[in-house]
Amino acid sequence: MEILKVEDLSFSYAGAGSPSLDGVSFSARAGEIIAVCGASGSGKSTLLRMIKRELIPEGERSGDVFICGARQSDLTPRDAAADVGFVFQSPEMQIVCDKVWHELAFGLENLGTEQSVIRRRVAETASYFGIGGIFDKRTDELSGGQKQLVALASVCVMSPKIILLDEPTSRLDPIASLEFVSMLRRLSRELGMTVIIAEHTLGGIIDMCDRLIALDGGKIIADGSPRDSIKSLAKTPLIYTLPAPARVFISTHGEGECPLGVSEGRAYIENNFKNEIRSLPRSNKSGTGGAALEMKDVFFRYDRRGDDVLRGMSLRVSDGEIFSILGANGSGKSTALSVISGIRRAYSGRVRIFGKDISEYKNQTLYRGCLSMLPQDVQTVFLKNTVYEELCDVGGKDFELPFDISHLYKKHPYDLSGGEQQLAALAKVLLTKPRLLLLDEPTKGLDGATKRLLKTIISSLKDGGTTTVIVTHDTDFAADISDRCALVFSGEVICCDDVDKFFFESEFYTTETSRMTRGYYDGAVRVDDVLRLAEINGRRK
Amino acid sequence: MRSLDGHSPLSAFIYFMSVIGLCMFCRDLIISSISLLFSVLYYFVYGAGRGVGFHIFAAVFFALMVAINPFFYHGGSTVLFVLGDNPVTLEAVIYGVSASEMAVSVLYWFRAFTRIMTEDKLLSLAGRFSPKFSLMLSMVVRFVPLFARRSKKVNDAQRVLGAYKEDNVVDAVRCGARVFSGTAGWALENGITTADSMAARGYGTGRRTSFSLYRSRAHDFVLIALTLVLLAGAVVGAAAGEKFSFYPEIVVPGGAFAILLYTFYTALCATSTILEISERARWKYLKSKI
Repeated sequence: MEILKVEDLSFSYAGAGSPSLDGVSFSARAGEIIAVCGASGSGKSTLLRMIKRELIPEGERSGDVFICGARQSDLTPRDAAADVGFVFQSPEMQIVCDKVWHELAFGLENLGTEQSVIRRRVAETASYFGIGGIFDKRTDELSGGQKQLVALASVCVMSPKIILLDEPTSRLDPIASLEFVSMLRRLSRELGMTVIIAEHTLGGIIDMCDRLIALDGGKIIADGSPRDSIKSLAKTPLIYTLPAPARVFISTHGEGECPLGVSEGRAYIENNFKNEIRSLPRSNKSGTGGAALEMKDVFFRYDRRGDDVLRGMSLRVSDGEIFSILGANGSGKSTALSVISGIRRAYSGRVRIFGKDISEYKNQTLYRGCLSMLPQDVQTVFLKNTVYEELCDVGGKDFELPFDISHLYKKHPYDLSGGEQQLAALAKVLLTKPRLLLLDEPTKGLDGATKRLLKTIISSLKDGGTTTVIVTHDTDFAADISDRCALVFSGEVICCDDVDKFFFESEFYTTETSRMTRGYYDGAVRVDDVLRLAEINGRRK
Repeated sequence: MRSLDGHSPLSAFIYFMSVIGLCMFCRDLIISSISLLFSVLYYFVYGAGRGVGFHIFAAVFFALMVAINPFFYHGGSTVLFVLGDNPVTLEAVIYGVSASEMAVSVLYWFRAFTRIMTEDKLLSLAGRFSPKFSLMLSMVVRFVPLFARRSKKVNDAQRVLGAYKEDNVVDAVRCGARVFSGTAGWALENGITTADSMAARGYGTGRRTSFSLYRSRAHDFVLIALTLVLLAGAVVGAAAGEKFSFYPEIVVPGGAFAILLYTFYTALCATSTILEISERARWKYLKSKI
């Protein structure tokens, strides 16, 4: 049954020159999962907002949207609210109430539903989502993943026919994203809800989607099954967000079905390419210079009565190195950064920055030309009304940046897209001229193009002698950029190696490429490695 | 019987307001003594607090209040002694005792009240009267810790960016102000998302209901009825009978109405303690059967 029909929809924001959406038409059946992808500014969010009547922005609009056969503008306010659910990007700000149970009831309260009905719907939903355990908790005490799950549940309580999600996993870690996405799959398969999800990182969602719609400049450039649509993304920056097997397939101009998963990718490589030469010559990247950062047996806990978060962490980062710290959630990665940056003090052990004990940096000298950090939540960096003021605040009137963001100067920092905010915040951090730069999850929620720009920036900083320590979940990013990597588990550094060795020897905590080529090629941890090996070895006849 | 904790917010609320209200409106040494006795008793039986700090505070507060009245008011016929040119009278001292008993007992009642009436219960109570107001309260309750945490995060980020120039108070205040304004800016900007999220879930489409986890059960109505009967009896006694008078000399009222007032008020005050103890006893009994 056709649940949603979008007919020749065009939209331009009030005051904007070019249209954000340009003649978009598609329809969706019940129970379908549709991914809408596109770079930042391609019109994904605008398209979703046009389908949700309450959120249609100011501007000029033509075309029509039908929901369950009824014209969108003819729906009663109750139907408009209940039939189409919307989940936002920020888990923090879309939650309205103080308690989880209250948040779940919020939508039904608004519709004036009776107590007994609310009670039943809320109970059912909480059980279905498996959030009974946090039912009585305060919403501000939940983790990001739990918050997003509550946000989804509080929409589903109203039994919507369509759920729209605007980059819902961009602020979540990989495990939480996986959990969230598998919930979406259940909603579609078990309850027949139509799920439309806008994302610019396709990796996590592509194998569960029924359809992939790609947008570029407000126009649909591909609409079909993921395997078909992917092929038309070859020339767009979106290719960098595809799963490794698909990237290898596209880059080698493969024919037939596009592989999506690791085993399919493996089969594709084994069937098409020889492996007489199994590995690439390896360059030794391990650091040899003086130490930029040394941690020795560092213990830290947040609370006197609490448990240790860092349990004897030891680490050495050489001057001029790019060093990545990987590990699961709650393993102490971010805490380690806050100890290194001097925000928190270890209760035992030593932290040395450029050979000097961190406690000897008196009078905030640590933060002048020595160390700086890009926090995970980059909005905390901004205090002013325009990006330009923001930069002047740190860099004085005539500052110099290693990359150009002058087109953003006049904008308010909060009006920028996620990727632009990341760049502006990084610019501000770099203006403090740090010799040791700390980055906390710098790639979270970035589209392919911005991620690549970030890589170039970090490499050019390395050429200028800056040491960079990155905490990240993004194994692909770490493999591309790092000299050395460390795995942190339960407050300790478990292993620390040269990047190629690190990812080659890890069984689980490694890149998709490494898992795909293991045993066939040695030490191919990046897509580029595979492509080079494939080229050297040549195709099978 | 269930303790007050196990009753619905409405019945617990009515109970506390009756006890506190009657005590505050009757200027009566006996009423204030009953109230103080049972408020302290209930405080301990319920286990509303552990530390001794609160009791020390209450004792000092009590002593001060008792001491102050006779020095400022010199009516009354029984002069105890003369201080300077001013007589200190027995009646003024007793009045001081009664007033302090009233104030301190209200402190104890409220202490227990805040432990029993959690945010959830207060909000659900507010929701009975105005769903909109209750929602607003709920949002505020959520927002305050959110703001505090956010401002800590902003402060950390800014510190690493070198926003604090030196380690001194002036700089700390200057930078603290910037952090606050930055956090406020974040709250306003991101409030748009909250507003969108509310609109998306049908806020403002019609009359709101207010959902509450608490339902009123039979025992709630029993408690409400009991409270109201005792309250009504005491009010009748207080209105129709003689008044307790402090000046010029102390007169303790007698007669049927006064007895009605005192017995009913005692019963009202004791209800909370009796409920608590009986529930404890029931648990103990159940446990011994297991």
